[in-house]
Amino acid sequence: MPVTLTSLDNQEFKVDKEVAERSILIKNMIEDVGESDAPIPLPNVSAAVLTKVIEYCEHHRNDPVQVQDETDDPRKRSNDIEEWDMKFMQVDQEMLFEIILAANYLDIKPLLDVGCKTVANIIKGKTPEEIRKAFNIVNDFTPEEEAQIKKENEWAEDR
Amino acid sequence: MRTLSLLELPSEIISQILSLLSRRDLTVCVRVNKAWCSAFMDSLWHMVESGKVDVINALYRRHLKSVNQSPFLRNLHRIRVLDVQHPTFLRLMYEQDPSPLEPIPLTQLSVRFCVAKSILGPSTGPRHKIREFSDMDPILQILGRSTQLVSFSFWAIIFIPDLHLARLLATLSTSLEKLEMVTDPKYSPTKLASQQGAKALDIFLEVRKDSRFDNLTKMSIIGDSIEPTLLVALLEHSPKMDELNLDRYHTECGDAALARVISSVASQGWKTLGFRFMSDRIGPLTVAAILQSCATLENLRLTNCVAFDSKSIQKLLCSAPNLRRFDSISDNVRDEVEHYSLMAMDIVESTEDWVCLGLETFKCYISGVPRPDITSKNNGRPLTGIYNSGSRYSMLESTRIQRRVLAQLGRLTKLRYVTLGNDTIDLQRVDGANMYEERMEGSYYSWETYEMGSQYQCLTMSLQDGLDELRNLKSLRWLSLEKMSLRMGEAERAWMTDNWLEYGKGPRDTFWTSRGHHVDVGTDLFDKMLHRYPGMLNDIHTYDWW
Repeated sequence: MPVTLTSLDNQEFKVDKEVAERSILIKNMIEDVGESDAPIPLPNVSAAVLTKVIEYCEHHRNDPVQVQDETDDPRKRSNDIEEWDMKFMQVDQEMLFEIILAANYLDIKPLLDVGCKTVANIIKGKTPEEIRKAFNIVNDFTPEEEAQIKKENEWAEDR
Repeated sequence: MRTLSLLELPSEIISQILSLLSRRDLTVCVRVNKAWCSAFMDSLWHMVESGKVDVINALYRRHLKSVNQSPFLRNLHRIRVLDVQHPTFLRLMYEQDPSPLEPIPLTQLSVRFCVAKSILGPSTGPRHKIREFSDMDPILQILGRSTQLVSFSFWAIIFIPDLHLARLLATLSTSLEKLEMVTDPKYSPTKLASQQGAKALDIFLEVRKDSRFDNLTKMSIIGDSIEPTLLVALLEHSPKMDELNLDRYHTECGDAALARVISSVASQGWKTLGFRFMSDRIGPLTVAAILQSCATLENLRLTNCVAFDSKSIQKLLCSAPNLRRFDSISDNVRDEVEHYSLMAMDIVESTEDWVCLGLETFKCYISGVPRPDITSKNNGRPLTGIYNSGSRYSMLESTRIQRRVLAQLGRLTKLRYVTLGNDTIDLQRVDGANMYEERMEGSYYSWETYEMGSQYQCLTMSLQDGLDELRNLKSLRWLSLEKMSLRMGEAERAWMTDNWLEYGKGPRDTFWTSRGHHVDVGTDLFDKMLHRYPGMLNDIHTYDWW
């Protein structure tokens, strides 16, 4: 049975229950309400973002449920992202953050993880100037201040 | 529409992103702009590991003289986990005013007490000379300000006088949960230590007064780190203490003092006790103290403990109803297993039944089983001893005795992990285990090597001799019978598969590891185990024993 989701801007989306239940929030709502045709309001998610989130859930509809502890283990934690997810995450930064927020709100842990990994990968291995460029940030340090912060934290640079 | 920025994400998401970055990445992030600097600085300074404080100070001296304080001191309020050498504290103290004002949010502190060449001058004496401890104030000051400290450990390769130690312990925060005191046994001048005992005790009691360590539950002592009367006082100030690990705690006072220590922990409802390399200190008084108050005891590890003999083990199993883990097997593959064995006759002749029906882990040699079927050792030498002298026991009697033993074991239906043989394949457990494995692989191998840890007067574990008495061990996952003279075959293997549905599944119990408190994660052996039992890491975290 399909489920109807309503976005912030009142657009309706019909999706399979199985797809919608990738979101733990929606899954719990469906469980609480029981069988019902009433649309589920998602007042925190815009239509554009919800479209992306549903695309992700459609693609991952058959994934096994993630074991809770897996990501807590630093040995298993890596910044590797599957190819499809990597392509999926090639969006502008505004959308990237919106997807992360939506994944957090809707409680879709795998999507949140992919989102965080994507952000981390943008930061990794860059110089401060490259990060500023990537995130459109203005440098408000004086050259002296920046030099001092660099010196002060140099001890941590070897790892 | 305004653009959303990274730092506007909820803090838990920012922390998740942070956790994916290396510390090197963080050093770049703090240079991006002021907002990023304040957002990432705490994470960057979260942990300062061994040797780093010296690096920080060296950098400071070289480049940052214009600032009036070392970055270490200026960022002290960010550090949660710190591993530092004591001389470094001293140096900071001498060079700068440390402005002892606000509390420090340290949760884990470990201090290495060692000699600082630049302070004490170049060493002229022989290298092994015991060095006096110099100044205690800087560390006391840090400890006094660390009101959130959860774990404190020190590692000393110099002699810390009792008076200093008493003051140090008295200064620790009541938030403390875990205390580890390690003194390299080479630097344990016990005579000096005990001379100061009474005075040290006074100091501790005076500073501590009625303020107790209400959260302290775990304590580990390696080497002669603390004088026994002071230890007892510390335990009496720690009403929740339930785990005590003593490793090479070779205090001069010996058995009687140790018995007092045991009694004072036991009186507060202890749960866990571990001994390692304590054989020459543990005598009848300590054993009696353990047995008298084992009502609440859940975990007992007695590695290499000769005094806790067969009769004591039998008594323990008959009087510790809450016991969940018992481990008395040797840490040394060269030991004669009989020294640490539970003798079959002590079980058979006892009128009592084992009461530890919740026992999950049982690691214990069971020896003294008459084995008329064996006449010589692996190396061809004839077996000697009362159980093998000619016609003293028949095969029938041997079977009867084994059935009685296995019947006791078979009542412990919660058992999950049983080790009756030499545990050479346990994680890093046995000294020389790697050597043993190498030899078994054929490069270097002799009969003498093979003899080490071998058992002859052991259970045959055959169906004929009563393996079926273990039919109700439905939770059994692991049975280790290494180097035992078994008589098992296909029938036994099939029986095990049919009766123990959990057998061979799931990870080992990693509660006890090589030093009783850590696993060398990352070794090849560990990786192999992890590959086979993916849940093992989780188990280690669950059972992490300081």
